[in-house]
Amino acid sequence: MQQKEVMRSEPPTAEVSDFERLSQYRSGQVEALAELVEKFKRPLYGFLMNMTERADTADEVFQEVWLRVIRHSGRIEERNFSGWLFRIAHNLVIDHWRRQRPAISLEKENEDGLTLKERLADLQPLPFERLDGEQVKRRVAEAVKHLPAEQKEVFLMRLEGDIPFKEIARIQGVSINTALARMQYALAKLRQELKQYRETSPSGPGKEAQP
Amino acid sequence: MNCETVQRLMLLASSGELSGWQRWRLARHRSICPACRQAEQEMLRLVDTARQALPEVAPGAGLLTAIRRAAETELRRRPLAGNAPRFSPALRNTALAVALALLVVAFGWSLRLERSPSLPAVASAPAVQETDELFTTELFPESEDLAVLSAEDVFYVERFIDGTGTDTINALDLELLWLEGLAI
Ligand SMILES: [Zn+2]
Repeated sequence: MQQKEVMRSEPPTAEVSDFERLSQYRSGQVEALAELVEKFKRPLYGFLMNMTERADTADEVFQEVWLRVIRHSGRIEERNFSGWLFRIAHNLVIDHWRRQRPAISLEKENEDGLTLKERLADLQPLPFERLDGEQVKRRVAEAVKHLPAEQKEVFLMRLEGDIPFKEIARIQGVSINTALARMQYALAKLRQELKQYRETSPSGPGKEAQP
Repeated sequence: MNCETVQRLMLLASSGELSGWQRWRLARHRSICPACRQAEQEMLRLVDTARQALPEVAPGAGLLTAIRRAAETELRRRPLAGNAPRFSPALRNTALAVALALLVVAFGWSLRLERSPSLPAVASAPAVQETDELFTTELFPESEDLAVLSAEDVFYVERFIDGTGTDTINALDLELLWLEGLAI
């Protein structure tokens, strides 16, 4: 019941206030737009930094995203403001990649030779709580960096932007199943990475965990 | 329902996107499958760990100022919403006629636009038949309570698409849907 209400009532709660801010901006209150920028600056910038891996590019795209919001603020037909924001960001990141790396593949999640089934079969518990916090952070950040672009995007849209999977699927132009599979692959890789860390780290907590 | 499908439902549960029907199925599978219960705990912990591990970054003050300036410039450039200039009746009628004509043109244009996908690199996927998928996504009427269905409600049904599938899930569920007249 609770979850359903969350899903169904997206627009009436948080999203409505985002749109209200936008309409306040349209009627002349610059401060309302500044509040929107403030609210989304971390998730959006975090997404862009992770996707582009360059601060100057993230800066450039961040600015362009908001310029488009400003220019098109009167013409939004989306129900979900954050979804709209990340959709603009998605398109601009793709434009950026096209300029940088014209041959980039957006469909390489199965290239690691492991099926999802094989990955999911590994259900041994990971004692995250016993890993050193800073090392885990570095490890996770590194693993995220090496995810295929489309998996990384799903992962970051969920974790940074809290964008629903249905919205992510719409943004990426894929089915919801594909978006979910991408998230599963991303999580499986992170999991693998942390597991390897535990197994290989000489001074790591993994050793301590053994009898 | 097979465990892979269930684990996708778990992701949807974590983002609050499950329909009542899916929630019921997930709960039912959870109650009989210790592996999926454990996998869910693992997934939630991994997501939590990853969320904390993502570096906290924010744009610089200069960038925010530049955006604010652009927002101010845009407001100066165009008339404010709700502050439309006043016209004489004759002028207003002409304006209305022009607007109507523009609307017709714009409508025709939007029909054309709808056919051209706006996302450049990620081509739009076929609506249903994706053979690499574990289950197809289809639109069916949905409701919290199957007895009070409304046509505009939507939910996702998992179904075998390769026709094989011994770990089939939902022959019974689909049958129930057919009985309810919800599946095609
Ligand atoms: Zn299971």
